[in-house]
Amino acid sequence: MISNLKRTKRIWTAWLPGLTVLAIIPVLAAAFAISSARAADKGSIVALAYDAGGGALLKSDGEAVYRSGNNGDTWQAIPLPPSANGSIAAVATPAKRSGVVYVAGPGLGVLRTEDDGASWVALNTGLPSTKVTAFTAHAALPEAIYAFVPESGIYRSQDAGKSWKLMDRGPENTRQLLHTDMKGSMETGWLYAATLQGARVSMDCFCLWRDAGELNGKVDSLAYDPLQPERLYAASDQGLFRSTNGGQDWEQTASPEAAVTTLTATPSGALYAASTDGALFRSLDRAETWEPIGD
Amino acid sequence: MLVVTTVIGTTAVAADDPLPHVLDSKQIGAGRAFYGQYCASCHGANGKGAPNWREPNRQGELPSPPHNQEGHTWRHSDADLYEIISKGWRDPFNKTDRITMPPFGETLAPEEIRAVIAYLKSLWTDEQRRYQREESEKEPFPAEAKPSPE
Ligand code: HEC
Repeated sequence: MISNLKRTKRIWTAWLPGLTVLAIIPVLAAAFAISSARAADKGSIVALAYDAGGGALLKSDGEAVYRSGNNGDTWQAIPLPPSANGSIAAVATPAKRSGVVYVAGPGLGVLRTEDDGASWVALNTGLPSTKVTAFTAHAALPEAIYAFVPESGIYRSQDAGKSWKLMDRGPENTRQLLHTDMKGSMETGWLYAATLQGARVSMDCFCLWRDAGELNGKVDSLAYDPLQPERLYAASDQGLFRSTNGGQDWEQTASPEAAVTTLTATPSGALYAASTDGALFRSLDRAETWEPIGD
Repeated sequence: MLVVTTVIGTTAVAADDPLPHVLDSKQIGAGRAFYGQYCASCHGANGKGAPNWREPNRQGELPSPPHNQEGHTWRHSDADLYEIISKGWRDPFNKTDRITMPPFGETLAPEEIRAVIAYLKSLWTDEQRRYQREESEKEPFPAEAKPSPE
């Protein structure tokens, strides 16, 4: 077990042939950051996350992650390791940590960086494959993370990815996972799944998956307000919705003009939305009104 | 179905469980009796649960779930099971406010609650018992319910 983990670690750092190269990396990374930040502005945004500890917004175009500490004015690239062979489907940050970024996606499995992409750790020992299509971090416990592998189910790690346990099959056609620490769980919180047929919810004991209200159609993304975890937001092919009771009831709300693909909220309740054409928006009034951010 | 459950229950007791004190047949016997008296009216004979327990009933309340291997009782640590049984529970998505799972902390003594839990454990598969034991490592029974040294 331990030796396996060491081996995976080495694979990801093997591309650094020596100290000389190490010194050059930050320069290269900076150059890459500037050039690819432009490119990323054009492409669609597939995932958003917020690093609460570091006060930074994170976005991904599927190929790299970008970090902005100034509300989208400038972006710094967090490139995947060159040997990575897959696309990013989800980005998440653990509770109570700063600067720690998880990415997950088909072909990648689950990867973590704590130094803005200078090095990565692969966390796939114990997962059946690297075909991870959805991923989320626990709202309060920094070591707990969840990964969805379509043919198998939802895996939980309670040691930050060192080991995994299959919890259950998970809802069919799960597209995104979200953990919240809304009260009233028999365990430590709640897991939501955005699926092709609405949203589903279970306590994180994985006791019982049920419909989270009557959101019909394809749900692309769910986000929750850490200040009031019973406040949820959902982006679906029918528009943007919000709930004040943990997803039992939903009301349609204002959507920024573009079709929203992914949502995330900050600890102070600011809500970010990104669209297929790469545009980013922020709402400071719980999705009543939206302003474009960045350029 | 009834036969199957019984057989599993019996095997569990007889099987060389790695932690014999977790499944002690005297305790299970006592627990089965308490279960019949206090729990079976809602959770059914042999812990088979209410019909359609996955869906809210007409009042918008989740019915009593099974405690056997079909249910999810095995997903809870000893600490959580003890708390649910002694303090009661209602699902936060229920449309009513009443506590649908009544508290038994006043009715049953700590060792009686432990006995009922031991009986529930006898209804699970080996794998489920292993999972539950791992969950309980960090969340054991509260001090008040610790067995007195024999
Ligand atoms: C009046 C009916 C009623 C009685 C009597 C009752 N229960 Fe329950 N119990 C429920 C209901 C309803 C729930 C489901 C609550 C929910 O999730 O909304 C429940 C839930 C539970 C749960 C948690 C769910 C799970 O994961 O399995 C446990 C454990 C439990 N009961 C044990 C017991 C035990 C042990 C007894 C007897 C000492 C008992 N119950 C007696 C109605 C009852």
